[in-house]
Parts: sequence; structure tokens; C-alpha cells
Amino acid sequence: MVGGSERRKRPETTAAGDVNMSRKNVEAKTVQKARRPSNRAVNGYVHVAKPATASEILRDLGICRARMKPLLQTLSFAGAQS
Amino acid sequence: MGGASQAGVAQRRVFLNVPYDAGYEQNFLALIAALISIGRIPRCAVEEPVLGRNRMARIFKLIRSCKVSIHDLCRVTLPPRFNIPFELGIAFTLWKLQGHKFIVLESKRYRMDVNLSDLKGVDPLVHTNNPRKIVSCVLSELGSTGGAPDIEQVMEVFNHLQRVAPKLIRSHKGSKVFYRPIFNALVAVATEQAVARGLIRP
Repeated sequence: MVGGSERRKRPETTAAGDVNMSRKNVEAKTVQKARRPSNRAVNGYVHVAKPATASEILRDLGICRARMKPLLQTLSFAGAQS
Repeated sequence: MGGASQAGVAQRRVFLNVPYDAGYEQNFLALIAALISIGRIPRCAVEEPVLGRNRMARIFKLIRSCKVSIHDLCRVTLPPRFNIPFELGIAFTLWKLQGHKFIVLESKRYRMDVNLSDLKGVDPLVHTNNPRKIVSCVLSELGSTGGAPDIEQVMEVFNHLQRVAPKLIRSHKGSKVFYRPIFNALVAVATEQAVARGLIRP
């Protein structure tokens, strides 16, 4: 049976290079974690993988595209005129 | 619509907590133009029907359904109005509890350090009441790092909204854009313009 004290000794028995490498990995992971957008300040910075399409935007707001079409055509004309 | 798709839509919703006064209309149009141009869905309290529900319950439900919220603390007037800071408090709580994100806007640098000193450490984005600066702030915070649209294209969408807003107000015999049918029409127009400029897919 391996005692607790022997377990603690294990890193010293391995090659020094391996220990350093594992420490580097830990540091790299810590840096990576800090750079994740979710760990940034509360002040926004939220990227989404894919922007919403026009249909998704209108559907979410309950806007019927077909019913809006005549108004949009009028408004496009008004926008181009002025 | 499936659960995953619904979750995707929720990720793209942005709640707008801004002053509903005539002096803020241009900034409001800038926020709509910028959000639509980057494929985000602007949501605000004006587009929710009342239906006899408690106003605060509606607003809370709406904020909770959005991944991000934008709070503009630029109106520091007498008598003071506490609605925007109150809703910012709700967003702060949701950030603590469920990972909601919020963006604070201000028109004057360092003023929030005095007015809302409890929120020191959260830097507000200062827009100096300039719609172009508001667009820039939104693109900077929410735009994709790889494919953020050119600000000039977004300003074209904004200019179009500026031109159609008075017509919409006239046709509804209203005086402001903060009215559900006008807001919906503005979103529809901005969406159409963004598609026409290739900023979002149809």
C-alpha cells in the first residue's frame, strides 16, 4: 500500500523537465481561462458564433414580413427621396 | 423552433434600457442600426404589449430573456428618474446569478464614478450624445472580432432610419419613436437595409 507521504514525493522522483512542463501547462491553461470572454469584466464583450438572420430577428419580435412589405416599400421610397 | 435554436436566439437578444425622451431618439436609432447590422436582436420595454401584466414583471421577464443588456445612464436630471439605474440593478443581479452581460453607456466621462460609485470597476462607454460614437461602442463591445461591419455601412443604415422615423411618427399621429408599432417598423426597415448591404443574411 502506498502511503500519503510517498504520494507527495512523486513529483520529485519524476524528471525535472516533466515537472516544469506540467507547470507550464497549468500556467497556459490559467492564461487561456483569463482570456475567455466569459471571464472578462461584466462590461459586455459577448461574441456570438453566428449573427442572427433577418428572418430570425423579425420572428423574434413577432413581426410578419409579408404584412410589413407594403410599408417597407413605401419607407424605402421615402428614404431614397429625401 | 427547437430548444437549441431558441437558445441561439436568446444569445443574440440585447435589451435596451435607455431614456424614452425626444432628445434620445437619434441615439436610439443608432442603437437599433448598430445591433441589427451585427445580427443582434434589439428588445426594449416599448415593444411588449401591456396585457394587464405588471410593468416591472414584463421588464424583468424581458431582461432575463436577453443575454446582454445596454443601460444608458446619460439622463441625470431634476427631478431624478430612477428607472434606468433600477433596471441596471436587475441586470447586475442576473449577471451574478446566471451570467447575463451588461454594458453601461454614459454621455460624460467620470460622471458615473460620482452618481453610481457602487459600480466602480465597471467602465462605462462614453458616447457624448453622438450617434456615431454609440455605433462605435456597440461594434466594439458586441461586434464579431473577425467580421465586424464597417462603421460607414452601419451609419448608412442609421441615416436611412433617421429619414423614415419622422414619416412613421406622422403616420401614427405620435410624437416619439418609443411606441411599439414604430419600433417594430424601425427594426423591419433596419433589417431590410442591413440585408441590402450584405451585413446580415436574409
